[in-house]
Amino acid sequence: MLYQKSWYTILFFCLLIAVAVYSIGVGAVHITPTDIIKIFSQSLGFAYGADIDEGLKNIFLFIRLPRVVLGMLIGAGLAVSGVAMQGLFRNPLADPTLIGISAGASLSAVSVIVVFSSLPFYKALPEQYQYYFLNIVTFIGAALTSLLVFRMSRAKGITVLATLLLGGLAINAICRASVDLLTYIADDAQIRNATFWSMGSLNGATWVIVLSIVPFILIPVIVLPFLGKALNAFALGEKEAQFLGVNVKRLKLMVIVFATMAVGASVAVAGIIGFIGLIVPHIVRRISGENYTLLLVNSALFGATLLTLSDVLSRTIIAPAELPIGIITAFIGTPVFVFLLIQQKKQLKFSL
Amino acid sequence: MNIVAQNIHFSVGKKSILKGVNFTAKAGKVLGILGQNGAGKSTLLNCLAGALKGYTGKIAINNMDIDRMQIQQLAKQRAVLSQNHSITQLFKCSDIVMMGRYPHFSTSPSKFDMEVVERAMYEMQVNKLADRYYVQLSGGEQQRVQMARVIAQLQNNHSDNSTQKKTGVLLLDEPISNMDILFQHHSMKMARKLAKDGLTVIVILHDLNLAAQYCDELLLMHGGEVVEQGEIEQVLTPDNIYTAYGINIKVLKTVEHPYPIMVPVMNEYTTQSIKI
Repeated sequence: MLYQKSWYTILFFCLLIAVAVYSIGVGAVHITPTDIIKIFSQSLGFAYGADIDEGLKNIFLFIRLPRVVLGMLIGAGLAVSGVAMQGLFRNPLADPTLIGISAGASLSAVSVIVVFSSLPFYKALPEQYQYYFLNIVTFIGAALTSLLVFRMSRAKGITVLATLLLGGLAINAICRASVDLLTYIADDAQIRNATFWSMGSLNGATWVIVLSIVPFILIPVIVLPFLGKALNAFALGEKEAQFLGVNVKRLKLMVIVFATMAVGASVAVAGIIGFIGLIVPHIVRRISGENYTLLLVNSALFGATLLTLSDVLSRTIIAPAELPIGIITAFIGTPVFVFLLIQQKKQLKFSL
Repeated sequence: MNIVAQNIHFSVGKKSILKGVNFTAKAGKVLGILGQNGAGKSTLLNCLAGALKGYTGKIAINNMDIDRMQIQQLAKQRAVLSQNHSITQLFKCSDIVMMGRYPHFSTSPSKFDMEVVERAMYEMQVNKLADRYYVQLSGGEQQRVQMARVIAQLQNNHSDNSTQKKTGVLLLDEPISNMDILFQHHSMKMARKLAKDGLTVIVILHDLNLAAQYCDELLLMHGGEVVEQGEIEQVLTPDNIYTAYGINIKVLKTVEHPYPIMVPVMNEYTTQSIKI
């Protein structure tokens, strides 16, 4: 049953906590769960944990924790926006990266950095506000791109999968080329390298960055599940949803706004990390069903988990160097993508 | 609930699709809409459903202009079964039928909602398909599931007595086009039963004989205009059928069948547009 109660949410939550603790521990300096408890205990002023090493505490508080929190936020945001996009396009293949929304966001981010970083008023802004500004601009970039894809891929209220994916291809190509061009002509001080934008990284996570994206991620993660029931009806078809009393126009607008808000913020601080919006909902659907409310909540939790794990891999596979995290998500994501494509072909829904 | 359409015109670009349609559908009756492909039947139904804006004329349910009604309000009073559905997600059949309860619950369905769904599935004989995936069903089975959904939608809340009078408008666009003969009759009987329970049923059909057997009144359309409307025998005459479809038919009547039976006149398949 669609509206069955589910305990999986608790399971996903526990899994996330476990992975987060594990992920904090992994690295050149090992931090055990006991250490983490000690640090919290000591920070709260308890006697337990007073013997904790200051260096270890600093690594935990200023290197590991912000990075893990950033990973969790971005994972949750990308997963939730993936689910929302799939609801909007009524197709499980819609993923913000595949259909070009992330690329649109990255282009707007890079443009902002190149154009504004030389302007005195921008330089005078505190770092926190610079990030807020960046996030808002990438949000606008992502929203415009998704509107474009949405308009392009639909005929008579039905998403044409071929145009959706090919349109995404075109937008990806043009945006990525523009990003490459801008990074090529910009000097290094202005901008991170092209690899960062195309393959993503959580490297250099600080509390300033984390705080700058918190509202942009948490608002969608909290608001979108409330649209779950309407998205369920929307899956029947746009007209059918309207017949059932869904305010379709408002729903579409809200989904685009909230989904792109999360994508924009994560691209602004971590570059393009692909496939999370595709893999996570796919796995979660198999476990806890098609109900969008649950799908959104569970995907947020599982997306956070998966991105944190991917980040552990990216840090450790070729340690002490780092592999861009997008490479890892692409390796996990592509098989899922191909599988979904074949599945849809089998259902003869390819042309719809 | 009565639904009244007054002088409905609708055009796309310069092409006018509906050219002044008038009719009244009464509670407790089944109104059949007949006509050629492209005669404007679905367009008319979409106007009645409130899905098409930009028509001229007036459509009112119980004297309330449907354009002035809130869609949430409308959703509790009229259900629509469209011709085509495109569902890619792996919903189970019971999930699809539960969608019909959307206007009636806020976050999760009540026990009553579940009973309504169960009853509707039983009525359309899809209760055995409840846990199957909708996309994997045959076309006829899918139509039965969709029919169960609209039945569930028009069951008003908290009437524990299922024999209580129903109110609402049920709009069906070729609901039986993919069904086998048994379920065609089953579904049409169901439409009659729903009308008897108090609903206003409007159904687009292609099978003239089914229309003759199960509808109370008919509306025969051609090129966006009404050829004839009214009682069965008044509408289904060879002349009207020739005007609407361009085919010669013979109306038979037998003792066992109190309703007219239409058969094409042999060797006269030649129509206005098709020359064989």
